[in-house]
Parts: sequence; C-alpha cells; structure tokens
Amino acid sequence: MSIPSTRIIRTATGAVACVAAVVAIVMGIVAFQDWQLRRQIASGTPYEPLGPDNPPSAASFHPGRAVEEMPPITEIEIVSAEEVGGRIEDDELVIGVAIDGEARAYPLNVLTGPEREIFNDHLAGRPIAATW
Amino acid sequence: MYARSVKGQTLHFAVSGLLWEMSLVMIDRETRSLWSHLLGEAMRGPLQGEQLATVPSIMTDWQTWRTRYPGTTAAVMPRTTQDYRRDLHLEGSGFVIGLAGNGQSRAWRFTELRLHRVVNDRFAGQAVVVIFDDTSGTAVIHGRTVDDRELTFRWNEGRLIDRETGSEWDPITATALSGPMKGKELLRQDGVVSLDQAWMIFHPESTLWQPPPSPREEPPTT
Repeated sequence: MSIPSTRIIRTATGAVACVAAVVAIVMGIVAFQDWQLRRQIASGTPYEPLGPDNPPSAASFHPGRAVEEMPPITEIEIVSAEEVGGRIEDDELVIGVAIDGEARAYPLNVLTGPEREIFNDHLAGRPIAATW
Repeated sequence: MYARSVKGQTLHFAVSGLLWEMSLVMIDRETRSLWSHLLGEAMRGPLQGEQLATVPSIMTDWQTWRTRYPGTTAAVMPRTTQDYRRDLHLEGSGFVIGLAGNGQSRAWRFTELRLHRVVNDRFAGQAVVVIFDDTSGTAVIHGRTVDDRELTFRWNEGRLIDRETGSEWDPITATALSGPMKGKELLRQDGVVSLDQAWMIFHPESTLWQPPPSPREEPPTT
C-alpha cells in the first residue's frame, strides 16, 4: 500500500496517527474474526460436524452456548401418587424409576426447558439425576 | 437416569447452557466438568473421561406407571409444556429406543416397533427382548435369559407370553404374572428413548434393527 506519504510520517503527530491507524485496522480485523467466532459458537455449529468420520469424543467436543448457565435443581416437591391429582394427567409421559422397592415418576412436561432438564434427587438412598 | 456418585463423590448437575449438536451439556457444581447428557461422559474438566453409571428407567405414561407401582411417588412442578403425552409415542415419528455400551450400540425404530410389538434380539452377546406396549406407547428392553435359559416372547391376544413355558409377563415390571415362571423377573436394560437423528449422531457405529419382510413373528436372530 503506498501511503501518501513520507511527508506525513515526517511529523511526530503524523507518526502517531499512522500507528493509530494500523492498530485500528488490526483491531478491526481481530474484532471481525472474534465476531465471526462468536456467531459460529452462538449458532451451535461445531468446527466439524459429528458423523461417521468424526465420532463424538473429547477431541470433537465443540459445544455452543445457547443460554446462560442454570443453577442445579436440588429441591423438588415429591408427593405420593394419591396426592398428584391433576398435576400429572394419565396420558402424560413420565420417566419411571424403581430402585430397591421404591418407585418414582418424573413427568417430561416438567423436565422440559433450559431451566429444568436435570433433577438432582435421591431414591432408596441413592443419589440420582433425572435428565431429559 | 444417571447415578450421581462418581469416584466416591456425589455430584450435583446443572444445565451448563451449552449445547453439543443440539444436545444438552451438563455441568457439575463440584468440579465444573462438562458432561454430554446423551453419552453420560465428562468431556472437559477435572473429571474428563469419567462415565456416569445409569439407573434403568422406563418412559411410559403416568397411568401405566402408577397402576404398576401403586406406592410410587412423583415429582410435581408447574408444567413447562403440554406436549409429552402417549400419543407422541403412539403416532409420532422419528423415535428410537437404543442400547449402548462397550463401544457398541443398536437401535429399534418406534415406527417398526408399533407394527411388530416384540423383537427377540441380541445385543453385545446378550439375548434381549424389545417390547412395544401399544396402549401406553411404551417401548422397553429387557434381558430374556432367565436361570440360564433363553426365552422367546410373543404377544397373544394382548398378553405377553414366552414360548418356552407359556408364562405371561408384564412388560412394564418385567415380571412373570402367571405360569411356570410366575414371580421371576427379567433383567432391565438401559433402553434409551431418543430421536433417531440424535441417536445416530452420538452413536455413529449403531446398528439398526431391520424388521423381517412380514409383520408376523420372526425367529430370534442369532
């Protein structure tokens, strides 16, 4: 690039202006690449899609951010089947677990959504996570 | 359904807010490791490489669960959606139930299970039976070896029967209700209900059950 010209660089302010311009350009490039990266990450697109040639592994793990991190759910209202009433309807899908004679159901319609998804619970003394 | 104990430590899992190929990535409060929900494996962080133990579970409708397990409790919370009902499994497309372990995996499509309703199959050297209950839309997988004896199952007028002894079995509780096997239990398998696409992405090596040409009973695969 031919800078017009040596006349500008001769002066001190000119030199500063020139450096500032270069820095601005470099920062602009960096900002643009950063923006591209952010957009790629925000779209959830991994650097290379999983497939038969790229099986899931720690190496191919490239998550994208969809929402903010949620706090773990540790307090869940647990009731007996008799107390459920209309809160779970007969045709609603549940994840049912039975351990050592204890049984519990987790409805999918309450497990859905980024603020739900994982319930930290205990059943028959065992710490379990109901996930959806 | 995962066990939360890893190497003697009980972890508390949260939604990390990250997605990997549209699949939930979990984070544990204790070490802040990142876990793939579908694989049950820590992909990043101090616990990278650790695998969560699964707890066998069934995806069924509330009516079926509470009638089979009258003493059951339930988690109650305001609904975030109304969508997940048995009709989804009875009529919806794209669902599979799958087994994965030791680097192997296999899946059975709901669209085919609805037609065939019982598949006597094998996975990772073990005899398994994949059952579809068409009143509740429940797909479930159990081991079909009892006391070193491999059983083969069929539906007969709404009852699940093993050919070898003629005993009737409840597919939900995996228990024999009558006949010579009464009281015996099949070993529950960790059948995971998933969308077809999600399963194939995370288990690219997965085999897929191919139904026989006729919708009638097929001989067990060797």
